[in-house]
Amino acid sequence: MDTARISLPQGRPAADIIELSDGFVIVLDLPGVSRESLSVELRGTELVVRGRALLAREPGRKPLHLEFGDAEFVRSFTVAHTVDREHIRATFRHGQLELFLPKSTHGQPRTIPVASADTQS
Amino acid sequence: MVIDVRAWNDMQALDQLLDALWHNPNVRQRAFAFPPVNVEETDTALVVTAAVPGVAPGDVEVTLEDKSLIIRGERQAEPGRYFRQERPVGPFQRVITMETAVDGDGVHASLRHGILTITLPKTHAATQRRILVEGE
Repeated sequence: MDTARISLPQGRPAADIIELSDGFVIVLDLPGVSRESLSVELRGTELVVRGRALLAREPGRKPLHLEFGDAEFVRSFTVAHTVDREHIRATFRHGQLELFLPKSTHGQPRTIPVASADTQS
Repeated sequence: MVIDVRAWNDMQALDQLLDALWHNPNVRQRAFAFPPVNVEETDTALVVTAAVPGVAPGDVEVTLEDKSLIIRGERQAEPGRYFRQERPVGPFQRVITMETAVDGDGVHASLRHGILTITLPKTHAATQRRILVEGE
């Protein structure tokens, strides 16, 4: 069975956005999502996370009580210019995605050294 | 600065959730407790699955006490300044009460991609009975 083609109910994964001194951390809950089905894409200023959670299916299993099911998780974030878009890092462990968006150093005030021109005479 | 624009007009997700709750007779009102738990049954075993994303195998404890299966653990908050917090953090516990007799020695638990799967083989005498009550 080609599991990539099954149409799944769309879900919006829970996310935390945390600011650190050197960047932002986005943590997303993606239970059941495999690394292969997970994608993180940056298109311009839009960061899109997608993942498919297909729960184990075994013949002869009858549901007695269900609180979660298969899902296609999709969530997008707008990344502002203060983020260094070239160096976004993603780590995926135990069904949890952690994105680190470092703050860009371009926007920081810089001190420009002033050279002395007095010795030209 | 990171802005999550979808939060402002996300009625679709709410509609979908309400639809799911109204129309799926298997989803009970406890659907908002953490972690969400599914209970399934085969001819020979009960299969309990719980969605515990971000929890390492060492940070979750599964105990079988008489007829209760207890799932305990803790999710840690990240340090820093929160702009948005949707993920539940802190200690969690779910208790599943089983009226089906299970063989405590044969219980097997595994954790993969944030899904905890516990297989509880039924005892010989219980293979024909099935009653399940779920509680806090």
